Amino acid sequence: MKKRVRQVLVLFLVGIISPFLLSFVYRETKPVIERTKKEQLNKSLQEVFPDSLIRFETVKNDTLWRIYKNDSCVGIIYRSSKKGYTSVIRPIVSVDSRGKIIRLKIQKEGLSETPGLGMNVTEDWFQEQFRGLSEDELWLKKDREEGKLDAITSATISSRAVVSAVREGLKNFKKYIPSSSSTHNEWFRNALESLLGNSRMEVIIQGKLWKGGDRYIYLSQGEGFASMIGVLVSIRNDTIQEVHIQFPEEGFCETPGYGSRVIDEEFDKRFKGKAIQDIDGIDAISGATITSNAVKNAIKTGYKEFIQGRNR
Amino acid sequence: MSRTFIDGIIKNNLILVLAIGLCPTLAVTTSAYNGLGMGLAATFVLIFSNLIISAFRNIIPDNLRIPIFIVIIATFVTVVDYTLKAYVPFLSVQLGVFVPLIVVNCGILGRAEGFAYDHSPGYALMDGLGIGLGFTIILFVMGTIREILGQGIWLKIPGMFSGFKVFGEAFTNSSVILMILPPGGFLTIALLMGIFNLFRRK
Repeated sequence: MKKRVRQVLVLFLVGIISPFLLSFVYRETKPVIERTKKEQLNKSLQEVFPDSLIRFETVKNDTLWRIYKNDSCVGIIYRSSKKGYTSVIRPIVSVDSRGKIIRLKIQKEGLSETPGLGMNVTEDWFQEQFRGLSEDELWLKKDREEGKLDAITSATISSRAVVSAVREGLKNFKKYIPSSSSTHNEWFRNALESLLGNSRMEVIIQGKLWKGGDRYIYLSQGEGFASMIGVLVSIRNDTIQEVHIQFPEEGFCETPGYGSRVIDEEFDKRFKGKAIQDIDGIDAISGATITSNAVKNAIKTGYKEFIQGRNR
Repeated sequence: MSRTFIDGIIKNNLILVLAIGLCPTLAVTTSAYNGLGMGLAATFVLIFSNLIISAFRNIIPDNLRIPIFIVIIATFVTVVDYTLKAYVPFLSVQLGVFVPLIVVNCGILGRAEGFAYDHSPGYALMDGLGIGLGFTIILFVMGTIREILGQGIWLKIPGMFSGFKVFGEAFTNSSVILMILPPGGFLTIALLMGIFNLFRRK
């Protein structure tokens, strides 16, 4: 009987002391573990979008982030996964506002493909191929005609897994990309209506140049930070009457600030009554030089096309 | 006492002589750094579990000793696991599931049962140090052989150091991949055992 009691007592003590010790270690290491995890995540996000002026905002925990530069949304980063040959492949992908891949990085955590073969998916040349591709081009050349990607020799399964992880991720998350085409169309219709007023519209070049009364209206695009910025310009007697600017973040990235600031400060009003040669002298919005220049360039290139179209 | 320490390294070498704890040995020695990390983690657990078990050997009931050993070992393994995760995350990722699996490493339970349970704490400590060192050395050597032949580099530390280039570019680009695959582990361990026995017989 005494022996039994002793056994129970010893087991009881072991069962008390051991978890007590562990809870202490757990409490000490938990904040460090969480900090390291966060640092690693931030590091991988920065690696797929290397720019010091940006900030990331979580949309879906651990899978989707929006990239903000000067408070305007310039793209997204997502993480997806697919079973490879002997492990799960998890790429982190950054996408610009045109829905094209900027960069990707395959996480080495938990990745154990065949060394020297499947493991080569982490090599630069393989990952570089994805740059600038859109969803339909994300296939291996040997799988689809429109595909633009080379597989790694004798590691087709691993290569295919990366490609489909990236493609499926883009398919799932592209609705979070700023400036989808539907909002663009809506903006365009409204802007054109307001410019034309009551006058009858006459199409000179489909989708590019219109005439209404004594005014010409043209649509043009300029390359902004990571997205195309659309402008709709009305011209009368060779001077600019009105400019409508569409920013990629309109209706998408709600965060007020830079992007909407260009609208708030009424950048478009600065063009009113100006001749085309005066455009270079117009001051850019401070802190938004790239975007302001994109608008100016769009107006200028559109103007050249307008002159050609008018004289035809 | 120093006899116990040296015996732990050579006469009772966990891998080459006792041939226990081979599973993590084969699995993680794809690089020298991994081998070293695994060896040190196991050594830490070995020293403390030996020490504690030997100190309490008189009050641990005979018929309950195995479960108690396991709880004590598991406690130290968890300590190692958290510490690695917090301070050397890259190593923790590389070793993966083999860190928690130190709990069931028969080398550690074997020393608890076979040595610490009937020796005083001083000897148990020396045994833990010796066995741990012997284990670490072999893991490191195996990792070295496999990494150099399999990847052409030595002592790569992920995220910190890209490794010494042992044989130049041409070898690195067409290294013997077999050596870092599972067969390479078996080949290396057999080779080491063979060499070791050759010298021990003499």
